[in-house]
Amino acid sequence: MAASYTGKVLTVDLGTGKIEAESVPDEVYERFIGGLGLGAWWLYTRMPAGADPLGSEAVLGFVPGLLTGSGSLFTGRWMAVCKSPLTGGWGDANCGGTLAPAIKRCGFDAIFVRGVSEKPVYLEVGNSGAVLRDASALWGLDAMETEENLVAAFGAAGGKKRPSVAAIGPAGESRSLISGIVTDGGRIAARSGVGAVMGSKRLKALVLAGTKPIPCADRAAVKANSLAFARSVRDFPLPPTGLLRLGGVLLRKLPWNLRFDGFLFGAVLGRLGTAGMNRLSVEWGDAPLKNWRGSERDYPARASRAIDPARVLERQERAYHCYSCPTGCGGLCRVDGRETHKPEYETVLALSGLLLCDDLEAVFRMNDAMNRAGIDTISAGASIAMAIELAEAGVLPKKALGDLDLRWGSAAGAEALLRLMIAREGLGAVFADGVRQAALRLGPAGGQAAGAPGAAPGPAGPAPGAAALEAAVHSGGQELAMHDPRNDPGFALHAAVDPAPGKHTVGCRLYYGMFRLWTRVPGAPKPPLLERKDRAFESGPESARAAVLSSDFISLFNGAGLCLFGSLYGADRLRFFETLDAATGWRRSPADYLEAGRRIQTLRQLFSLREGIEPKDVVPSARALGRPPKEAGANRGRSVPLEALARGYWEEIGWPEGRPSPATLARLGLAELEGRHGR
Amino acid sequence: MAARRLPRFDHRACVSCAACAEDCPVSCIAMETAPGRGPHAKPRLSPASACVGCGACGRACPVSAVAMCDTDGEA
Ligand code: SF4
Ligand code: SF4
Ligand code: SF4
Repeated sequence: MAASYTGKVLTVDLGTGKIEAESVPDEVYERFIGGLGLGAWWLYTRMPAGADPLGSEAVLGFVPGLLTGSGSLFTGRWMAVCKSPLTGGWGDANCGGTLAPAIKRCGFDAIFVRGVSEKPVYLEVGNSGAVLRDASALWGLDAMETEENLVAAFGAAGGKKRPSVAAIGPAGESRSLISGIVTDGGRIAARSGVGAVMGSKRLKALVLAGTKPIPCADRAAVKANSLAFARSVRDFPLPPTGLLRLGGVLLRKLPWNLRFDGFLFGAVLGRLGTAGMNRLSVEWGDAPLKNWRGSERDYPARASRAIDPARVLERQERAYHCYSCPTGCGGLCRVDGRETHKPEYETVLALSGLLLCDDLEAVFRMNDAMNRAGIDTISAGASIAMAIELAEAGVLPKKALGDLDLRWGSAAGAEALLRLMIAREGLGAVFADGVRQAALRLGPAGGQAAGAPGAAPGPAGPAPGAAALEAAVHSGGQELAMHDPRNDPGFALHAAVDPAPGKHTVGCRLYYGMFRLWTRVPGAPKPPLLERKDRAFESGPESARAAVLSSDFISLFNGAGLCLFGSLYGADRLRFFETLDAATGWRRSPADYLEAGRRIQTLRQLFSLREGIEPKDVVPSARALGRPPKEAGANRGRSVPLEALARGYWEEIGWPEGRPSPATLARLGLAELEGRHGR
Repeated sequence: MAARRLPRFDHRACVSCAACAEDCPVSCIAMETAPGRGPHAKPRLSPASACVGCGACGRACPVSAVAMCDTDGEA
């Protein structure tokens, strides 16, 4: 019985053109699972410390999960892994679609690319091997045009299988630090600047057309788990979408937090997609508004009506399911007559509430433009919000602003700035690499950098330095997603302590309640159904344990290749640990699997530390922590005790001050890896 | 024409996950919605004549909604 991995990875050196299949020992899978864990192991052991993330020594990995293609559900996610040019530490980005099984059908558990090609190339992999082909004619095309061209060319050459394509757009080509890698007509591995890494290598695309069977130890047992889950999913009649908004009002007003049920969340996702949360989040205090300074009072019902889930759904032609996903939260629609993916919650809020805009059509257009350019909608939205705040404060030089209408609520201004960012022209050149770079360029010492290619703000006008630093909302260089830690402090904690900072996909009070780990893991705290809201702001051994279990679990999930939304149904209902056993033939306890998750998490941390990241310095921007606290609206008066929460997390996971202790490394079997690098 | 095996999709059991369509080596499964059947697409052979009867779709399906059935070449 072969476990659900191929035991081989494809390595490509774009500098020399050398392509090899390398074997990976079983022990690596047993210890690091696969997916994110395999990526972390490879990069940690193969990439020299201090490598330029956009240089030839940098390695970019494409990793599906251990369970991908095993007959399991939710296992169509892949990740791009690298040293992040955005944060300087560990970088990863997660994406669905069809690429994950496509990598495995080529016979590999990962594709790792290093070196820099002299001219643009794409990598084509099929059953009989891999080849680099000239992509000069594709350079400059947007990501979706690139995909269409490559699929057509593959078919014209006699290929019967429609290949999966991952491509960068112009943003990745110009090494925008907030660019991503695009697949499946507009899905994107958006975070950590992974697109810039691909662009720096002049690798325009991957074309994967393998049709090899994917191994699995006991496929029938895996499928029995899948079927049992599918049958257990309970459906809920959903109220009219307008009432979801009132649900948000109620959640804001209640003195308690509730522990939510994943079936309910799944019903919202399957019916409405992530947009189901749009207005609920605005009212609840989950969605940051007006660049994190506003409240629902600045974005009242008459504005948020524009982003009602029903309005988004009206534009959807059909649901979209990533490979092997039963939920199908995605949706296909048309923009300018061309099929594309609908904007997700994060995108909608980053381009509406964050900017106080209420123009849904503009959101659809900007989403499509960003998916084509291959740029992260969260980071780009945050950058536009920062620009608007500075323009409104009068600290952006008039000359730089030109005729840009940068005002709260001006979708036209936002759209115009976005176009400039993608083209790296004028003020767009200042904001094209995210908020931290923009603040540096606008700061007193950064006046020259602002003059990066194309017109940039001149020295005239008041110095925007301090205002720019304050308006740049990020953690460790990565823009925060659309979930306010003043509503759920777990978002700040993980945005700070995760080796890839600034992300919203690791943990929080809300997620932990849905993971239901206490049903499988001895000692995992079980949160009460109702809990006083101020409890979420208290640090203590229970909350620290829950936070560490969350990052263990998500690291494990990312090793296995599952979607975060699958985890929210609950590990027990998903029969997640049982499925791992069935697919691998291993017989391990949930606690043992979670320890593998911790090993992955700790190795990612070692990577960031090796690159010089100082954990204590990775702190989300003050306004996202409620420093000073808001005076009105949801979350008023609240501030996040980040230092205490981080201390609790570090103590529980065994990383004093963010540095894994020798005892922790010994327990996880990482001691011999530490310090080793660059073979 | 020789008898061959073709997949038959149980649309009631199907959860629309598209694993069958993705794993098909000749990409002959289309995911399609039908009027009145909701937004989640279901698999259909497109065209059946392209199917090589390999069973990859059935192998991929997590919820056993694909059965390989003997049929003659006309199916
Ligand atoms: S829940 Fe949504 S994002 Fe997750 S795998 Fe399914 S379709 Fe993709
Ligand atoms: S039997 Fe093979 S060729 Fe036919 S539809 Fe299924 S996967 Fe495709
Ligand atoms: S693999 Fe099974 S559940 Fe998924 S779309 Fe195909 S028939 Fe439906």
